[in-house]
Amino acid sequence: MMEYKVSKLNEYFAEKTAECSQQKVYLLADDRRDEASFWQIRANIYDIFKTILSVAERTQKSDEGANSFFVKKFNEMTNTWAESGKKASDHGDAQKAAIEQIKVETAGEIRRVFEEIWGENNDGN
Amino acid sequence: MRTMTETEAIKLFKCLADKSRLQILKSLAIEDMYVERLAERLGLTAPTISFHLKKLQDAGAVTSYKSQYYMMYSLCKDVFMTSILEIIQEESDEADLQAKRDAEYRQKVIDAFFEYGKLKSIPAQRKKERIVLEEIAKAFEPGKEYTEREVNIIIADFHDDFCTIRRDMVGEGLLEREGSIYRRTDPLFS
Repeated sequence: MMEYKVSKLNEYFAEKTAECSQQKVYLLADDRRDEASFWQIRANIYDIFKTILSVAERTQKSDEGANSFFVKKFNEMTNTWAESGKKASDHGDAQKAAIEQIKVETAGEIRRVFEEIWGENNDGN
Repeated sequence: MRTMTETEAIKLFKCLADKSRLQILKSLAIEDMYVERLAERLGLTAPTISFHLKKLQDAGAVTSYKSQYYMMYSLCKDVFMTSILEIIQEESDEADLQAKRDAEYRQKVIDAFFEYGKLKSIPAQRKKERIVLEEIAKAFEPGKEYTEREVNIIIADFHDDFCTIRRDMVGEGLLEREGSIYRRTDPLFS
């Protein structure tokens, strides 16, 4: 069961990373270098959570254990980014605030997909 | 009108070499706008627009002012009145360039070690630590006498390890100590 969910999530990560690369290429060709780098940041976030998922799979024996591990790491990281984004906004640092917001938004999307897939009650057939 | 320095011109050109930022400028050339209006017009998110506006402001291309509930952005028309010929005819003085390089290095160190006015860590390299200490020394009024407690309180605003910083500031000659009284040395930066 866990194997099936991990494989579905990995498919999602691969799809999103490919989408990020495509957007990045398009924006670079359109002379929008900074926005292209935003897509690289999104790709990095997918990569981070893909790694966390693989660690969860390797170190946890049960579905529940992997779920708790992933959610715990998720909360730790997103709280840091949200805090850093708020601090940046409070100090008028629009550049950092935009980057932290991208991280938090991307992570939020990952969380929704994770919950959707992890909550699925099927045997993978 | 003041001629743009080389550093300013490079910063501006780098900033303009971006399609979204050019589109923002084109919109602002029509009229002053706020972030959400620009976002809607250009099909970008508000944080992305704010990101670009900050870069444009730093490059001197855009300025902002408050109008009722909104922060309005407007084009700095003066900057765009400068001709490229004027920029390339501006002479580069080697001494000025060196001073600029030094100032840029100094700023880079300050940006790396300070975050929103707080010192993140004490640099291990002496040259960098000196720059950081000089920055902290600006919080002391020249000629004013401070007790050790007052010195500690001022330094603690920057970093918790006020003992090390106070000692190093004395060691670097940025603060002088007479008994239990401290004074900022003047001139500060030699």
